[in-house]
Amino acid sequence: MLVDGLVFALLGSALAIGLAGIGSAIGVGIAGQAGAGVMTEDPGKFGQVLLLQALPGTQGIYGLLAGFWVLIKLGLFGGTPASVTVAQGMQIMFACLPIAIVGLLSGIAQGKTAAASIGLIARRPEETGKAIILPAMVETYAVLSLLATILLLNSIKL
Amino acid sequence: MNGERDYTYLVGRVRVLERSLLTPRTLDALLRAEDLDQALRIMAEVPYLGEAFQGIVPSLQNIDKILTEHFFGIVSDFTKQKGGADVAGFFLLEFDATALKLAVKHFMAKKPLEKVYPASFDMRKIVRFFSGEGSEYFPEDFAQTLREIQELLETQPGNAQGVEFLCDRFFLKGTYSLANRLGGPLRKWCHLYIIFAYLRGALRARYQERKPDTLRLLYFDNSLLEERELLEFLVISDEKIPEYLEHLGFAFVLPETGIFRNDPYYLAEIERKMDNYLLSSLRQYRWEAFGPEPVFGFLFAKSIDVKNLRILLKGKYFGLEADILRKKLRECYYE
Repeated sequence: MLVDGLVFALLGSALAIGLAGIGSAIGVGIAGQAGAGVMTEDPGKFGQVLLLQALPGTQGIYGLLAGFWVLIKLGLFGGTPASVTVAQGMQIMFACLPIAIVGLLSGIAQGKTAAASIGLIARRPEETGKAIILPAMVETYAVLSLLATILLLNSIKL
Repeated sequence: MNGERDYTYLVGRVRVLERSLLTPRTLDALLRAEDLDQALRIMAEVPYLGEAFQGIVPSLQNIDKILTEHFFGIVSDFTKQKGGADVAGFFLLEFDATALKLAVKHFMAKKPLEKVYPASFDMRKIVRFFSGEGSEYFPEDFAQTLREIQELLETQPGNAQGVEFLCDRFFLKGTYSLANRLGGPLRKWCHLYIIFAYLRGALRARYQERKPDTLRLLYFDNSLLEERELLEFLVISDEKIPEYLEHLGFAFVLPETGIFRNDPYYLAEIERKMDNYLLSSLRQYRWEAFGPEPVFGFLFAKSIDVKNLRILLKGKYFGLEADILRKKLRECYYE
């Protein structure tokens, strides 16, 4: 039974890292395509494009943070895993879901917004500030989901 | 149809290249230009287009060449990109149909081909095909059109209008199958374009008093317009045309409600209204960040710009008044 609980906890950690990472990869990819299009015609926009392309990458970092938090909580880095019941393992897995799901979806949404913003700076380079704020708004929900995951993980007693 | 994200790269490029599109302000400046030299200096300032106009010898041939090559360069480049083959395919088809017309006309006039018009094929292959100098390979649709032109020229050697209609039919047939591949709003747009092309062809044929057999060469089986509906334009009276257009649902192309005049200026005005309508129906998609519509819209806007620049620069070359030129100009993509 101890092993089963650990499996659920590790599944939660893997979901947080994996899904949020996928969201970021897709988002960065979308923004990158738009950026490559802009730079084909105007290579001077590299700096602004890079900044916007990097924005959807944060979800992957949040997912990784949540995943490591779980591993630390389980004591896996110390070499001796904590005893985890099935109920505790499932609690940890559900606690990871906010950043896993929101990370996936917000990464894609932020990538789309970043691509649109790259289009904005291509036409109006003077509006770079506003162009960054728009995709940054999507970030709020990734941050909130990370906060929720951390609070939920902290409330679980092992 | 491709996924909407397949066009992200092209939309990015379009966002930069849109700065090369003409605006009402540029058009006004060109209209106010005192002569062709001044107009060319204004053109040299337009981003991503101006370089081609810097230091050119101001002749009609040079202007035509620059405009054609500039637009063809964008179209052929876009067709090589992901998602671009279909979205730029419409414009490449148009180049192909024009090149085909020119090649056949050269062959008919027995003139050597001195200039090559840009297309997806080598125009010299067409001339070699008709003169029987070699067996060339062509895609089936294209080969079919060539055989039809060959048959027409065997029975009616001087029927240049018939040749033109057959080339246009090749373009319209290609557009019809492209419409299904593009899907969504562009499918409807392509269908509208085909109907407008039929109306233009029929009204021009009416003015030139062509026989139904010649106009029939423009027609191919489609679900948009029946052959008898097209041929009707040649037999009804001028007074009945507005009513007939109303019946078909296209009375809005008439410059004056309920009035039709069978003269070339009025026909040119109708064609201008059609171009404006086609452009305005794409304008609503111009700010979309994904999908083929903003890319297609940009390319169509570019083709309208080329038309406007030909009118303006040729007008300046011949010293036409600004007011006369203004009446011929199409609307801009960006107000």
